[in-house]
Amino acid sequence: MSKDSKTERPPVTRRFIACTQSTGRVGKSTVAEGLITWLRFAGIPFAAVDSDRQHRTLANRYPTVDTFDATKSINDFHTMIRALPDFPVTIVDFPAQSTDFLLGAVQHFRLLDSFELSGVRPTLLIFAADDSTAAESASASARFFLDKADYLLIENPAKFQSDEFKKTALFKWLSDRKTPTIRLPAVTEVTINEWKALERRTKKYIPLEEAITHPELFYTVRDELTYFRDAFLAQFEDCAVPRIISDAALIKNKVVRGEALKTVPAAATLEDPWL
Amino acid sequence: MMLKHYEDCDLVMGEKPKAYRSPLWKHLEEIRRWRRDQETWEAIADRLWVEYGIKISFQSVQSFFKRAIDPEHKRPLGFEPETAKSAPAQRLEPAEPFAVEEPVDPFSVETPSNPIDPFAKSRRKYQQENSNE
Repeated sequence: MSKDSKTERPPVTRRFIACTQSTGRVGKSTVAEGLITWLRFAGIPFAAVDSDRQHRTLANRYPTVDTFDATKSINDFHTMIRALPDFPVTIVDFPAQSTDFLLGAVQHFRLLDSFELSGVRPTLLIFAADDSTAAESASASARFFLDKADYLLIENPAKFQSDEFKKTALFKWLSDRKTPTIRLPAVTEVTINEWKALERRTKKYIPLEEAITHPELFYTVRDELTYFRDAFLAQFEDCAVPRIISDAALIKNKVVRGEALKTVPAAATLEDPWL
Repeated sequence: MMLKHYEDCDLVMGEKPKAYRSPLWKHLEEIRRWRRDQETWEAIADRLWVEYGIKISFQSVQSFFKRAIDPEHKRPLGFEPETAKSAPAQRLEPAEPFAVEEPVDPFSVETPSNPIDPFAKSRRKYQQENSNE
């Protein structure tokens, strides 16, 4: 035991990004998709697993994303952990309502220690949602991981309110650690419906990057999705080091900021005091 | 983001397949496998649409499957699956005398320690990219 404490910790070279919160319909897979979009854009090697067998959002949209339900049993979780690749970033999209299982599994395998010893650091996505289940599971996750993980706070004004969350001790704790906030830009239902209708028509799932240039989508739809994509790219790039990648040199392609992106937070809030 | 494609399913009466000619018969074993993987009927209907272009509601997939696996379900004459009773009798060749099986050393066969790789696609993608460079 004493030997363990003296063991030198290697530098963090890999990130394990996931959300352990018990939240459904808050945009978990959308954020994962945004992150994949940025990693692909920036040319950063990553591995991604869609663990949500029921929805398979990521696996359907991205043929290179694997499907594997690591929350089905402790054996499956173990299978995933032991196969963890050497890529700088690994993203796992866990299904909703799996907080207890995941925290139990991490505890069972003493994963926080073994992650530290192998240069892997978790980054947890925390959805700043007011609803009690989301807030409680966020709190449980943060209390479990404490400073052995980094966090990204997610606000999605189109799906949930964050006013009550911002009054919690957890929010203060995250703010004290200078946790960056990713704010999902609002996209109209018309755009989402047209995108889905195109997928139905063409009988294939269309990733965000493809949708923004698809000639069969109306130009306003393409523009809205382009802004949505660019806002993701800019925000992920801003908080990339050290929460998503450990080394800025991994970024091969940087986002060129236009006028529109300079106003991302304000444009995304839907909280215009004049309305 | 589950696609509720059945909501705007555009099947018309004329396109309905004749009895016992459901396109799902070809995928019966696959549907069974998906169910064993604990997929929902909704997810299965979704996969049938995406992977095979079969537009069908999840209720229809479920009722098809229920029918298809029910041994009591009455089928038209000649449609029943082949059973030992209905299969043509095969002539039995006499067994070779003293045919003794070679003993198999269980430790001589190499098996992968863990054949499941949840990251197989990601690894393949980067292997391909590296080999292309």
